[in-house]
Amino acid sequence: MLISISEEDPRPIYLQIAADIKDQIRTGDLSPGDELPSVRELADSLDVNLHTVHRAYQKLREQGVIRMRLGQRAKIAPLRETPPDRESVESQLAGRLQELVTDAFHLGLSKADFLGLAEKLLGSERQGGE
Amino acid sequence: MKLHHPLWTHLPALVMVLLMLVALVRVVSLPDPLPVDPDTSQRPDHSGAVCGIVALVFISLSWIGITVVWDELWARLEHRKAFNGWSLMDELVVGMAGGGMLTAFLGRVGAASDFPFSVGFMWFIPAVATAAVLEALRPFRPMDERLSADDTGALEADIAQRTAAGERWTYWEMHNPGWQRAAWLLAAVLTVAATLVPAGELPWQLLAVAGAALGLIVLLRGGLRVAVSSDRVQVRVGLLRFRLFDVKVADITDVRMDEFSPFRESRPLMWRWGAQPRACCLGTRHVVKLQTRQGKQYLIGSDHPERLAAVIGATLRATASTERTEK
Repeated sequence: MLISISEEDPRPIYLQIAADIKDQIRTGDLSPGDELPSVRELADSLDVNLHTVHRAYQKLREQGVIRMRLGQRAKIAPLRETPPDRESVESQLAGRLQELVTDAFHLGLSKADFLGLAEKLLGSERQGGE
Repeated sequence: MKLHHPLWTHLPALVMVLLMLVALVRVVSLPDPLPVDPDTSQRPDHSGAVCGIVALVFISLSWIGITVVWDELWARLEHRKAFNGWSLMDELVVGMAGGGMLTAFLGRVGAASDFPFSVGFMWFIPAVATAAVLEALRPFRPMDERLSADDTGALEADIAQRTAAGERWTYWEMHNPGWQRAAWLLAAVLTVAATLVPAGELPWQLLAVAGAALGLIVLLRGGLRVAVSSDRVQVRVGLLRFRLFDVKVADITDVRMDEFSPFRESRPLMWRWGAQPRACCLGTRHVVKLQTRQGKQYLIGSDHPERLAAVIGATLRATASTERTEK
């Protein structure tokens, strides 16, 4: 498992850690059942505060990405085959997609280019619904 | 399941158990109470129930089972044939316990008689000698460990890119083979079982077993954890995250794959601490070997040694490249 954080990234560090883990699950580098390092181990390795890593893991647990049990390491949860609440998920993602579409427009990216970029990123998945 | 350590090497121990059973069937009467726990003066200092004789058979079979498992792990993980002295363990135990104690107690000695150690030697010496010959004759059948065919190029490029971008990164992996998880579980069971005995009746032997079991839990729980960052390679083990290795990347001059026999070349607990190269490897023949400027060598076990080697190698190259750029 490879995780990195950047001081240049405007996102909080805990969100960078959570996003990195989710991305590795999407690309297949991490699979359901894989164990994650303990909070202390990851904090020591990345030289960040314990609470930062703990917050990242809490975020992932709330999203159902990992499972945490007392006395055990966090594990990657089984992948969902269907969204738990399709309407809510689509509404949430639509808002974020709208922002991306707007940014792409202002950056001069055409609709075809935007869709091509989306397809390229979706094509890098090695598991999960393919 | 294909066995790598042939079962026929345990024939002497099995023959001993068969003889014990035959002797039990033929006995007319057993001394009651049964004299047990002989000390060095050959005088029994304790008495036990007659059913202890039957328990010896089950204990003997258990020892054979433990030795079969241990030998199988040894054979799977050796990268060249070597004599496994541990395979004689069952003949030693079964011979002394079964042969000496059983035949001595079958109506031939009374409760106050001297314990016949000499009878025990007559039983287990031929068994151990035969087992040694069989062990020397066993074929070399290591496990076919296939290294992953994954392309490590993408991983190396990723490491180089993140290092060049000044990101703080860590590569983390865990090495926790199944036999180690089973050992931890067994240690936990023994510890719990020991606590069920009333404190006043707790013999020192059981306390020692419970203490050893607790030590195993602390030392083995969670397996090996390797963390590689842009400036160091750390290997930790156990519940308390005991740090086995902590090597600075700047000190590493070479990284490569190597072969290792964890059961033969490092004991106990699959760590080699005093001799060079220092090693920590639990269940694989292929390891990552590090060489440092100080002349030290380290062997690190991994489920994916080719990936670990690629990460450390990429880190070395990225660090060297950064130093050249700064100059």
